[in-house]
Amino acid sequence: MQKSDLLEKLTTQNISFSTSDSKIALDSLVDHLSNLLSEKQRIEIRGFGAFSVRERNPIRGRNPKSGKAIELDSRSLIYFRPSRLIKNRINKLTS
Amino acid sequence: MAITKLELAEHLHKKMGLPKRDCLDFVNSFFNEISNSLEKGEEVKLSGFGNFSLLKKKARPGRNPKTGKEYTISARTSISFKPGRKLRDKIV
Repeated sequence: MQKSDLLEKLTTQNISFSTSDSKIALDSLVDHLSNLLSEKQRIEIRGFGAFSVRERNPIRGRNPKSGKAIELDSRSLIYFRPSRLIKNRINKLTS
Repeated sequence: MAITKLELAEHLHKKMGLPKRDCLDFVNSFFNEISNSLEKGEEVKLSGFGNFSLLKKKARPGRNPKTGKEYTISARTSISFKPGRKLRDKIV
């Protein structure tokens, strides 16, 4: 499923949103999620999962070609942890 | 405090000027539709954000950490989220 398919579904389900409203709403929702993550906020959606940002320590790497040691900066990674409910759903379990 | 659907709905409400209740419905259908698609075994690609894909895991041996008893972890499907370029570049 792509964004355009999702948009179609959202438009049919949300009658108070016109087609153009749905497009604006979907884009701003995705933008907002990205912005929140760039502020290192944790986003928790019940029954779906949680997005969080984890800091990785700087690591000492090595240039594979020259063998020179280099320091790789610390960086942040986005981490998604699916909720148990959705995991059960995709595994067709009941609980 | 973690961000919840309520805050996302609030944001849409401010942005769109549509009733808060309707905005919450919209946020709910957003996550529901992603779940439904994954449940059907279909991956979800949201350009500008990232991709949700399914990981098929084979059965593997495990151990109960408490009792030390060995057992088999059954084959299962898990979900992975891979942020897209645009989102990765935003997070430094």
